[in-house]
Formats: sequence, C-alpha cells, structure tokens
Amino acid sequence: MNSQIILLVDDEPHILAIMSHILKRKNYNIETACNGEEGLQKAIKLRPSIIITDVQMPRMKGPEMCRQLLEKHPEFCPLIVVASSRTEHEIRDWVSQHSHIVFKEKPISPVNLLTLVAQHFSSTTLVRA
Amino acid sequence: MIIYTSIVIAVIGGLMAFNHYQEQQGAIQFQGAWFMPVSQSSTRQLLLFMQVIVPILLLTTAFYRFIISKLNTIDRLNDRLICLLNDKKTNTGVQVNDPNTGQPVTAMGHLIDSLENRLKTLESESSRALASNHVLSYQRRKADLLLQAMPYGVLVMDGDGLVTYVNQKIKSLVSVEPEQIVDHPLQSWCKNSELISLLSCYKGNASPLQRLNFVEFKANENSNKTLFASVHPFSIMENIPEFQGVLVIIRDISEEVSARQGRDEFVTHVAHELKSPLNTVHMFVDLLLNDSELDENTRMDSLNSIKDQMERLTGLISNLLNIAKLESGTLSLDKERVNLKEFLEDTFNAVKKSGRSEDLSFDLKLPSSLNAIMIDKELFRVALNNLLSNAVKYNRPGGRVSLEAEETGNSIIIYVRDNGIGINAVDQSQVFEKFYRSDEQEVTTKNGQGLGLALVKQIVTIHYGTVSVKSEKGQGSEFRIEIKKDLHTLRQTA
Repeated sequence: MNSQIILLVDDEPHILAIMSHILKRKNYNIETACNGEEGLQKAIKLRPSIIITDVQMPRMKGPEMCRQLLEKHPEFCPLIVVASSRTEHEIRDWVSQHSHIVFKEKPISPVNLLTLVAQHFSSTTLVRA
Repeated sequence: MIIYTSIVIAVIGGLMAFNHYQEQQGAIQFQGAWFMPVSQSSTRQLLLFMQVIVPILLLTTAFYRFIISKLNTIDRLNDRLICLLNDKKTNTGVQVNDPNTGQPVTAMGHLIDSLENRLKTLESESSRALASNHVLSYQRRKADLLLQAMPYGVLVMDGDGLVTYVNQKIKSLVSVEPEQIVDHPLQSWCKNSELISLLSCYKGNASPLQRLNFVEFKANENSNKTLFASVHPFSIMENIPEFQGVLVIIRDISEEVSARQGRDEFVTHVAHELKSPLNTVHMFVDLLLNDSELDENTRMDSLNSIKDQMERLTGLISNLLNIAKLESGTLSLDKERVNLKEFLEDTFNAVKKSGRSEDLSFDLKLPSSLNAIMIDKELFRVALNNLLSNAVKYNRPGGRVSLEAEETGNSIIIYVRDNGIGINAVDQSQVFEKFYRSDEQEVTTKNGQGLGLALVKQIVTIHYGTVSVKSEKGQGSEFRIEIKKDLHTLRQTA
C-alpha cells in the first residue's frame, strides 16, 4: 500500500466510487469527500499528496476549497487536479496562475487518471532522491 | 343738364350786357351812373343788373352742385374706407365710376375695390393660417403627449450635440431633470461614459466610421438597473445625405438582462446535469473495456451504475421536456374524467413495487369514494409519482411512505407523507424552484436534478390546484395537493 494519500472530492457518488476503485487497484491510499467543505477539512487533516476535485459542488465549490487551502496553509503544496465538464474561462485562467494546479476535463479516463498520478509520484520521488 | 343750362343763360346774359355797354358809349360813365338816383335810367339799370347777377347766380349754383356731386362720391368712398377700417361690410353696390365724378375718383374707387378684395383675400388666408396653426398646435401637442406616454426615454439631439427635446421618462432612467438636459452640453448632464461615447459619435465633426448604434450600460455605479440606448439618425431636409439630428431611445432592460442571465444559467445547469451522468457512464465503460481483470462483482457494480445513470438521464430529459412544454405553453392538456380513487391506488402501487423500497412500509388511506375529476391523467401521474418517489428516496431504512386523500365540499386534497430526512426551513421556501437542491449531505449524495418538485408545481397549477409543503428536519415531510371542485375540474370538457 502506497502511504501517500490521494483525496477525491466530488458530489457524484458514482464518480467517487469508480475513481476510488481504479486507484485502489493500484494500491493507492484513497480518501473521499462529497463536497468542498468536507474536502477542505480532510485536506488539512490528512495532508494528501494529490487532491482531485470537482468544480460544481454543494456547500463549497472546488475552486473555493483550493483558495482557502492555499490561503490558510501556504506551506502545504499538494498536486491539485481540478476536473470538470465545465469550461469557464475563469477557472482555466485561475488554474493557469498556479504551477501545482492542473485542469482536466471530465470524463477522465482510467488510463489518464493512473498516468497523472503515477507521473506525480515518480517526479516527487526523483526530487526527494 | 342744369349746369349746361346755367352756362348757356350766363353766356346769353353776358352777351346782352355787352350789347348794352356798347349802347352806353363807355363803361366808366355807365358804372358811375349806377348809384345816381336818376329815374329815367333805373329800369334799364335794373335790367342791366339782372343781366349780370342772374348768370353769376346761376353759375354759382351750377358750380356748387358740381362740387357737391363730386363731394358726394368722395363721401361714399370715404364711408367705404371707414367701413373697411372698422372692419365692417362695405356697400359694394355704390357706383364709383360715375362719369360726372371724373377720372381720379373712379381710379380711387378701383383702388378701394382692389384693397377690399385684397383685404378679403388676406382675411381668408389669415383664417386658413389660424386654422392651420390650431391644427399644427394640436398635432404638436398630440405628438408630445405620445412621446411623453412612451414607456421609453426619448431624447432628440441636434447635429451640434445639443439636446432639443426629452420626455419625462428620461428623468427616471438617468436621474437628471429634463430642464438640465435640454440645450445643455452633453458633458454637463451625462455622467455615464458609455452613453457619452455613444452620443458623441453623432456630433457634427465625429467620424461616421466610429459611430455606434447602441450601447448597454448600468444606470449608475451602485445600481442594478441596466439601460439600453439606441441611436436613430434622421434627416429633415430631403436630398441631403447627412442627418440633421438623432433620436435616442433609452429603455430599462433590467428584466431582459435578468431573464437572459436566468436562461444562460438554465442552459449551463442543464448542460452540467446532462454531462454528469454521461461522464460517469464514460468512466465505467472505459473501465469495463480496458480492464480485463475485473472481478464479477465489480463488473456487475459497473453495469448497475451505468444503468442508474441511464435512468437518471432519461428522467432528467423527460422532466426537462415536460417543463419546457409547460413553460412555453405548447403542452396541450389531454383532460379526461378520471376515477380518482383508482388512479391514486394505481400510482401508489407502481411506486411501492418499483424495487427501491424494500425496507419501507407503505400506507394508503383513501375514502370509500372520491369524486371523479377532469385531469390530464398521464401528466398528473408524473406529479404524483415525483412526490412519492421523493418520499422513498429521501427516507431512511424502515421508514414509512403514505398516500392519503380526502374530499370536502369545495375541494379534493391529496397528502403524500414520509418520516424521512425532512427539509430544513430555508430549503422549504425554495424546493419548488427549478434546479434547487439542498446542500444537505443526505440530499446531495442522492441522484437528483432539482426538477421533480418544480414540475409537480407546474402540473398542479395548470390543473387549477395548489401544492404546499410542511416539513421538519429529521422528522419527515408532508406534501399537500389541493384541487378545487369547480367547473375546471368537474365538467366534462376541458
């Protein structure tokens, strides 16, 4: 089991289920949250290496969760993947201003998801080595 | 005639006097003898006197009559002039070309006739001009009233950029008194940069290439009011290509903007709601296609998830189509006389047997008989099904779902109750709005688009009914549909 945590934040239970399933099969440590508010709490508490979040969610939207996380914990710098089927320019512009935040359009295929995660972990491992 | 006779007598008298003078051999002696009291010559002297005096008298009389005749004509002309001056009707029957009065008087008579005719013409023209003036004043007033009554702000600007006319509506739109606008430079009354840019394009020396036709702007910085100004150049003189002024129409489009934003949000929301289940399906299909090592349970879970998403999509599209039809008014109700008791039993049992409610208890309480009512059966079934489905969906294991109906003298009331998660007070006021979903985790973790209750309300409303909700968080909810028993619901035809 990979000790590094991946936090999945989405209000669609099916999306959480399938992404969890795909990543768990590769022995990643998965945590889930069903809205931005819960995602923020878990991110602060668990300090995941990767956060994959939806944009449009009840209680707190994905970008707002990221803003608060960066504001309250600037030293904490996980890879944040903002995944959405929406293509508003504001989100893309906001994402482009942050080097450790990437935008992925939904649906993310299992192959792409695994590649993205694997690349991040391999790069961080190289840096540490 | 008298004048001629007088002249003839005077001439004869003169000739007789001359003959007598010749007989007296000297006018000086004769004259000196006049006052001499000589009896022999008195008869002759008297005769002589008569011969001189009578012609003189006759001549004087004739001259007097001649003068009087002339003066009479002049008097008549004078009378006519006075009448003309006093604006009275003149006696046009007076003969002014009397041969005895002479050329000047005749000419003067013609002059007066001419003046009189001219005066009549002028009076006639004056009357017409006065009438035209009244008509023009009336039309101007009418045009002004029409412009004032317009629901839009109207502003007329000349080629120099000065405003020559505004209606009162402008005041409520741009918050400036009309008096401060008319004949004042644009910059002195207009504080909005977009409007200034638009109107400045139509000043005399502005380049036609830079002209805008319209602009949308906020009434002021702190206002939510959105205004739309459009410019329409006009030309008073024909054959001149350049315009002499512009008509500016300013209207409040806040409602249109709001509706536009609402429509955009609706489209965005619908797109998101359609895309979400498709994304999920896409991911599961990818998993099934690319992972040959999936165990049977995972495969079945994946297929069930796909099936759920397909049902979700079908329900969403069906709800959207029904709402679109109801809102656009294109849905024609297929009303029929329905046995309400049977209808409620059928719908209730269909939900009960749907397979998603194994661990719930169902309770149907209907009176022994219910009046048949005129409804669109299939549409009303959608409404009732949505309420019952929600009662199942937002319930808890071991919970209860009940359908109850009662009939009063005026109405038929249907209750759908559950003892599920309930709705908080804030959400209760908005549950019938399109796409509204509670932020409660117990709600967001379940499939839904926030369209079911919106559709219920619309369907009940077009059946002349009302729907309301009573709920307590954690205790359950009660939805109440009331259909009035009136001509709309009891008569045979819709």
